[in-house]
This record gives sequence, structure tokens and C-alpha cells, in this order.
Amino acid sequence: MIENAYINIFLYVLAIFPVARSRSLKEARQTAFSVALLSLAISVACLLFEKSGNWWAPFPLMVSIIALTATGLSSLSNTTRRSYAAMLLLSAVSISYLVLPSGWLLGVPWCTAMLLVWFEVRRRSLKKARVFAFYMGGSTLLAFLGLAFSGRPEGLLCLALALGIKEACFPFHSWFPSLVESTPMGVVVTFVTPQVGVFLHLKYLAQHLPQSMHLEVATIGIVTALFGAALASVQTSLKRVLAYLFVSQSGLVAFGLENSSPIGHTGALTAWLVAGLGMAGFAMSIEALTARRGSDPDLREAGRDFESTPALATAFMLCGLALVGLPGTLGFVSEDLLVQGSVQEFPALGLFLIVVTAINAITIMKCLFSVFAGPRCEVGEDLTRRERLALSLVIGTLLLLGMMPELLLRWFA
Amino acid sequence: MASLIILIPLAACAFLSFIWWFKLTLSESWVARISTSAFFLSSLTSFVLLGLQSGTGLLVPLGEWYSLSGYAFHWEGAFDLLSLTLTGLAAFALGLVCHFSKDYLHQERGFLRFYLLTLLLGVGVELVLLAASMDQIFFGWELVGLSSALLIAFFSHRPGPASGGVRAFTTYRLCDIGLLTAVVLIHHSGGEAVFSLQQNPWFQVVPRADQGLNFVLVLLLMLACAGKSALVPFGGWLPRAMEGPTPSSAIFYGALSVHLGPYLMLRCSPLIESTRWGAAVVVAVGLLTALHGAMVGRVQADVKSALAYGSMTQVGLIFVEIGLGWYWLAVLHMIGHASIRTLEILRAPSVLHDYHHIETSLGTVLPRMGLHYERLLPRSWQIWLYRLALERGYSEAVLLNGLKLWRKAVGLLDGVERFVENRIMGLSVPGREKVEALR
Repeated sequence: MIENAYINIFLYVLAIFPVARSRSLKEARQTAFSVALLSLAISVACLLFEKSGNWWAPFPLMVSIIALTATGLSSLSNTTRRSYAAMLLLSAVSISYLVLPSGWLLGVPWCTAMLLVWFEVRRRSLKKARVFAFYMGGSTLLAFLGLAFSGRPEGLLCLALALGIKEACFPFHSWFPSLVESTPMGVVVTFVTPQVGVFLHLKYLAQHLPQSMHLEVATIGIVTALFGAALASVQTSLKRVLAYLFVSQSGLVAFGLENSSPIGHTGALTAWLVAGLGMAGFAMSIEALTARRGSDPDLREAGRDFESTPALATAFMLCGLALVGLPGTLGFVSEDLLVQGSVQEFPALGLFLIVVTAINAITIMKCLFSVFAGPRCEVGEDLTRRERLALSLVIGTLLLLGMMPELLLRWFA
Repeated sequence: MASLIILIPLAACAFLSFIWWFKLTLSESWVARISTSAFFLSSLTSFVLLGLQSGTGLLVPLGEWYSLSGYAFHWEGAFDLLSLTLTGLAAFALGLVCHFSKDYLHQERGFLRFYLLTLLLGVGVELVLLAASMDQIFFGWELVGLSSALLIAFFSHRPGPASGGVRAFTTYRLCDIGLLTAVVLIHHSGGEAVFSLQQNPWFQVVPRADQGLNFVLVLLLMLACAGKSALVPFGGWLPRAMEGPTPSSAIFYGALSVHLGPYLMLRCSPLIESTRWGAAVVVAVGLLTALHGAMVGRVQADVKSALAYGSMTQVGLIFVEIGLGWYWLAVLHMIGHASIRTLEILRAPSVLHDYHHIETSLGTVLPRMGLHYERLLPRSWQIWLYRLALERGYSEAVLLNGLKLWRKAVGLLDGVERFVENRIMGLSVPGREKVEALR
């Protein structure tokens, strides 16, 4: 399994140079997309031949699908060659957490990712870069403090806070909507949707956290989820809806991870994968839509007829609804496990979980019906072949694992 | 063979989805033929099984979906008189509607999409009808809700259908909180969510020992039914749902979707019987819905809305029957109502033509019927009731005001959010960024 991670990192890092130095943007996109496709093939092959492994075995697969969607659907109008290279490097960084030993060395991928994204934001908006730097600088500082005091309760608290900021948990989420608004979606997706915070939480924090703190963290998770869901429901810009939906999802995952029951815990890991893949698909279909409409769609205005971009609308809907437990997708399994597992331990919070998914589902359908309903448009602007391939893989994975969840649960159980 | 009832429409749905997603071409007649024959085959299978069935019923295990340390999701089919009769009839009605729509939607841009969603509805309905546990009912229930909302918004180039779709989906999803909570509560209270045979000749939920819990479960399930079957006070979406294509309106809101609520209650009737208050709630909600539907339906200006309220009235009465324990009457009422209402809605676009035809044949104007209110009530009451009916009983206004309150409260929170964001960006006044950009 470790070899898989090494091969993937090697592949992504190697591809950065041809992508950054390619002659045209189209060539950069093509190279990045091909590399992500190759990495996906390797990850699938490794998973098929792997007999035993631990819970993070599907992680490289998730990262490669995210990279594929990000590179395949980024629009050329706001993405540069450097952005494509950043997407690949960010994917390599995400996987590198798997192979690095714990300790100060973890600071290297952590800071690399922050700097890469910061440069991307800074090139577009100095002010938004300031917000990003404010939060991420704080998060990095806390992470280093946590490492310095490792083994002590203060250290644990610092680490927990650092991860909370990184995963956009309430009340440290304000950096996220402005990041989504100002940065190429591909970079945002490769930076946040792998949710390395979850990985780091489980690997370094979960065992050391005292029993009494589980309820607090779970409560923060549910408050984040509820807050994100509520704010997403009143936004008027599609990108801000996306940002708050992500905040809500990451709250749900954080809540589930605090379950001591194996059912709830597995549910949280499944929700982690669903949030990664679903969010990547959902965000990149919004990016594709923005490229076609010329600007971030305003939900108060009429959109365009469903039939003018049927496949894009379907991808938007399926990826979005997978996040909120559409039957037949992996989201249903994760929601079922999460609810059934958590209700024993946190009965009241479990009820909120049901409410949160309901609100999020309504928000997604509301967006679908306002963006894909409107005057007829005869010009065909549906998904291109590359985009269709990337989204097919995301939706196919969500559906396949939704039909046969045992394929996945054997890793997580 | 048992699982074929679901697998045939599912296979057809998967095939058409594949065609649709990869933009392959398939002629309209083939699309219709595949869908129609899938439903007819499924219906035939149901009736064959019904004929072969001896005894009261069978729970057929269809395999385990996933299992994890003590918790497992099993697929099981409850094959009894109730489920097999209803699946057979439902699939037959769906097949007829598919055949009818071939001409009705000829050359329509979303022809394939219509059939795809109808197949998805079929799969969802059959899943609910054959489910042997509450978990499976929830699975099918959600699929029905989604396909219903998407079909309402079928003509997406007009604003009406889209807002109708949002409305229906919002109601469904909020009311489904009741169903999901009930499922979780049943698991949580240490009980089995799987149905078993008790005094009635079909499979039913096992009631809990605790009466209070049973009452809470009835309330939660009634919330779910109120969404799906358009009961008071959540029925406002039903007339707006008629914005969808007529064949789908007929099959959803005349026949299948609205009757899923009564069906769920028939499966859960031991819960109602175990508490007197539970039964009272079911009867009261049913009665209120019937009165509401009858009153509001009278003032509708278009035929489809009037029919929608007619549906609502009958479904309310079916709930009253279930609350009173007259289960067989409820089943017969459901089947009879579904058949006649589907026919009425399908015929609705040509109702004027039909009237002309009848009146020309009779040689006289048809007499006005159903004027009980006008005959029985004093004039002052009539005016007051007329106003109430026009306002749809004020139930919608109350719900919409609640929604507005939610928007206002969250909007305030959103304002605080933006203020914090702007402060960190160094903009003291919200909106100054725009001013700077203008300069």
C-alpha cells in the first residue's frame, strides 16, 4: 500500500515540470489530466491486488479522482499553467501525509500546501489573501506549538485547534467562503476536499484525546454542520452555497469521528470519502457552469433550461445529492451508518444530523432548480468528452460503492 | 423470481440512464416500448406470484447489503396479499401511463428523461410496496420523492414548474425527517425494524411495549405521510405539482405517490391500535384533510387543481378509515380511487371536449351537481367559507411565514459572517470593496 503512495507522489511531482513549462494552457491541462488518469489507474490496480490494508487504503484513490476532476473541469479562463502545476503538487502533498513519519517533518507538506494556495489567492485578490493568511498562519502556528508541546494537554488542544481551522470548523471557517470565491476551483478542490485534517486527526490526535473531550468535539461538529447548512440555505451566490455546504459536511465528518461505536466511526470514514468525491464533483460542475455562463450564477436570477446542459445538470444533481444520502449512492450508506451508530452515544445530536442532511438536500435541489431552469437555450454547451469522463468516474465510483458498499467497508471496519 | 418485480424496471432504468448519459440515440418508440414492457412484465410477475401464493405470506430474504459489528442492512421482500396486489396494479398502471405518454410527449425535448424518471419512480414505489422493513421503505420513499420533484419541474423553461418542484421537494424532505427519526427510534429502542405477521393477513411492524413510544412513532410516521400524501397542513405543494406533464401527474398524484402514506400506515397499524391517542391523531388529520380538500377544491379555477384537491379529500378519508381500523375498506378505497383518479387526470386536458360531446348527445345542458354547501349552509357562512377556501385555509400562509422567519434569522447570521470577513480584509464598512472597485 505504501508503494502505491510513493508511486503516486513520484508521478505527480514529476509531472509538475512539463505542466508548468508547457507551451499552451491546453497542453498543460491535457498533461495534468493524463497524469491524474494514470495515477487513478495505478491506485485502482493497487487496491485490487491489496489483500489486507488499513483504513486509509482508499485515500490515494480518492486523491487521484479528485485530481482528475479538478484538472479535467478547470476552465482555461481563470486557470494558469502554474495553477495546474499547483493542483498536481497539492495532490502529491495530500498523499505524502501517508508516508511521512510523525513529527516536525509533517510541517513540510503542511506549509507547502498553504503557500501554494496563498500564492494562487494573492495573484487574484490581495485582500482575500490576507484573510487566508490570517487563518492559515494561525493554524500553522498552533500546529507547531502543538508539536512543541506534544504529549501534554496544551499541545493536544493546539493541534485540535489547528486541525479545526484547517477543516473550516465553526467558528474558524470564515476563510473558506472567500477562498472559494477568489481562487480557481481546481486549486480549492485539490486543497480542501481530500480533508487531510481528518487523516491527521485519526492518526495523531484521536488516541490521545481524553474521553471527556469526545462530546465537546462532537458538539462542535454538529454545530458546524448546522451552521453551514443554515448559511448555505440563504446564500444567493452558488459559490458561497458550495463553501457553506462544505463547512457543513466537514462538521458532519468531525462529529462522526468522535463516535466510539464502530458503526458510527465507519460511517464517518465513509462520509469522509463521500464528502471528498461528492464535493469535488459538485464544485467542479459549478466551475464548468461558471465557465459557460460567464460568471458565478446568481440564484435570484433565472438560469437556463435543463435541456440545454442535461449532463452537466445531472452531474451537479447526483454529486450534490450523494452528499446528502441519495439512495443508491455511497452517501446513503454513510448517512445510515452515521445515524444508526451515533444515536446510541449522542441521541440528541443524532437527531440534528438528520435535520442537517434534510436542509442540505433542500438547498441543493433549490440550487438545481434555479440554475437549470429558465428560458430555452438552443446552443449546445453541454459537457465535453474530457469533462464527461472525469464526472463519469466520480459518479460511477459513488454509485458502484453505493451498490456494493462491502468493497469499501472491509477497509474501514 | 420474486426480485424480478423490482429488477426488471431497475434494469430498464439503468439501460436508459446509460443511453442518456453517453448521448447514444434510441428512437422514441423503442424508449416507450422498453419502459412499457418492463412495467407490464413486472406486473405479470406480481400477479403470477399472487396466483402461486398459498397461505398468508412469505418473507423472502434477497441478500445482505452490508453488515458491520451487529448492524446489518438486509434486503428482504414481504410477499403477501397486500403487497403483491398493489405491486401488480401499480406496475400495470405505470405501464399504461408509459404507453399513453408515447403519443402525449411525442417530439418533446425531454422525452427520454420523462421515461427515465418514470422508471425511477416505478423502482421506488415497488421498493416501498415490497419492503420488509422500515429501512427499505425509507430507501424507496426517498427515490419516489426525488423522481416526483424532478418530474414536476420537467418543463424547466417555465418558472412555475421549477418553483413547484422546489416546493414539493422541500415539503417531502422536511417531512421525511419524521420517517428517518422513526426508523432510528425503532432501532434505538432495541426493536426489530423488520415486519412480522400478526392479526392482519399482511406483514406489519411489531409495536413496542411502551405506549408513549408508540404514540411518538405514530406522530413521526404521520409527519412523513403528511408530506408524501399532502395532508393538512403540508398539502400546499399538491396543486402546484400539477405543473408537471399530465401523465406523470396522473400516476403520481392520482395513483401511486399520494397513496404511499396510507400504505405505510397499513404496515404500521399495530402502532396505531396500541394507543388510543395515536388513532385519534390519524382520524383527526384525515378528517381535517378531507374537509380542507373538499372546501378548497370547490373554488379552484382549473381542472387539474380541482382534481388535485379531489385526490387530497379521498386520501384524507382513507386515513380516517385506517384510524378507525377499517383496513380492508381502506385498501379497496385506495385501489378504487387510484384507478378512477388516474383516468380523470389523464382525461383532464380534453374535459371541455368531453363535455361538449356529452351535451350534444344529450341535447341538453348538463345539470350542476354537488351543491350541498350551497343548499345546507346559510348565506353568511358561505361567504366566510369562500374566503377561507380561496386562502387555502391559511395553512400555507402560516408555513410561509415560518419560512420567512427562518430566512430572516439566518440572514442576520450571514450579515455577521460577512462583517467579520470584511473586517479581516481590512474593510471596515461592508460593501466598501465595491466602491473601491468602482474607483
